[in-house]
Amino acid sequence: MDNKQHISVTEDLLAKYLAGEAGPEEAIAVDNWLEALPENRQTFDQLAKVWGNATLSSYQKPDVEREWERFSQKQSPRKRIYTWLAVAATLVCLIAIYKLLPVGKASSEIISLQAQKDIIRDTLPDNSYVVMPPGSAIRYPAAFTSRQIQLKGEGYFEVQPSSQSPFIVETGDLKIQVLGTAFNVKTSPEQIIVQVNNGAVLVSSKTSAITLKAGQGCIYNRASRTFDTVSTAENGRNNYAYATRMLHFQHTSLSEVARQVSKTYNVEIRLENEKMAECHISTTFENKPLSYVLDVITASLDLQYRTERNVIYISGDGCN
Amino acid sequence: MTHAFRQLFITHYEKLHRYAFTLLKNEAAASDAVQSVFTRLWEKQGTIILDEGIKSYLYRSIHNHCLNIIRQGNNKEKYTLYQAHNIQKNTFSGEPEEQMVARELQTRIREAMESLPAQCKVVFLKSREDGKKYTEIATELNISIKTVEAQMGKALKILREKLQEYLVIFIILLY
Repeated sequence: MDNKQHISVTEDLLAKYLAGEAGPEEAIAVDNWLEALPENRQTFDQLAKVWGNATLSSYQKPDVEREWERFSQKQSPRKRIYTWLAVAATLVCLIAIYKLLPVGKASSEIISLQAQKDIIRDTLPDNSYVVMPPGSAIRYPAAFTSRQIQLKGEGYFEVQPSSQSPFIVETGDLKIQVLGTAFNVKTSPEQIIVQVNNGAVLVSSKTSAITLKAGQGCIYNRASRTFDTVSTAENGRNNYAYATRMLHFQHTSLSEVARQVSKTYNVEIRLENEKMAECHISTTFENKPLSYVLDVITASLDLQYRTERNVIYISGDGCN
Repeated sequence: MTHAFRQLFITHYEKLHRYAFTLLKNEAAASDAVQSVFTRLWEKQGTIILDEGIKSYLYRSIHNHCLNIIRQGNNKEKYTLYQAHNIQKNTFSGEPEEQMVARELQTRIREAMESLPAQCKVVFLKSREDGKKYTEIATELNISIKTVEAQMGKALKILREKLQEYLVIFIILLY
């Protein structure tokens, strides 16, 4: 969090850094400072020279690409094992999936990606982007020649446009097919909710299909196998703020705000006092750090917050 | 996973390496440290968020990892070897011109160091030449760590000012 504490970069700190005495926060401060202005870099180079020929002055910058090669070669056998473990663990599911996949795909390595405790953000082989909240998982063929993904739980997808190969997310009875767009899919035992952030998607079940455009969404009832369309109001986009970090509140109750912030940043938030249910707030956050969001909310409602063992407690007198 | 991970690696590698180097005083050891930290992160995939929080996680990991290596003690020896090697490298390698400039700079730094205020000079030498920790220096000289920090900053500042013109030329020549 950038605004947590400001460390000013002085000669004392630079000396500390060169001497190998800087703590992690101080090292970050030095690096930010180095990137801020070319003059800073110059000053640093001079100080490093002064520090002595025996240390940083003769320091050779590493060859990052070569280091990456070294790293990825070391990791690849492990990655293979992981992949196979994932394959073994999901064997039962795979049998079912093979029935759904087009026949004749011989190259069959499947990549399985699960969000366990944290929100996962990842780039797929085609450069599409996926974000999943904890408890969700996707599975896709490693070759990715056909862009087919199986989803469990919830996922937000930003799809790279490609006219040759449709991008398909499969979940339950539904297939969601896109050509280039961003959308969120949320599944529960009762229903599947698809919300489109931009572009358009085609959602189809075995019996019917529906096209959704930006700002629209649908709820698929798993038991009755029917669709309901809904238009996603501005605050409906909060549902996938865990991916976009865009939160919009319009006279929203503090309990709802806490629920949304908690999902977006994957933290636990507790309101200490029931009177706070009367607090309402209207504001927008675009990709702000959690500390900023909490500062703004508590300051505008005249409340306080503190963090204890990873739980954020909001306290105060309530609002009128 | 590799796309996002590669990006993270490329973005942070150099900075983390430089930081590890300040702690370990050895390039190879610094590379190993950064590699291990990324390896551990790789193994934790799926339980770690790849966002801005990752930065302080990485620096913290490097710091802890390097301190552990130093605590295990096998670094002291390496450090000394490395220093000897470097002095040799600096004195006897490179183009004749560079060699000359490097030797010249060494002489100038020595001269400038002589002119430092007494305590400043003692603190600076203990840190730079003997590779002593701030806490060790503070205990030895019976002063506070804050004073050590301030004296070190002051020493560097004075030296840089005294050598200013010369450093500018030197850096232009070598870069």
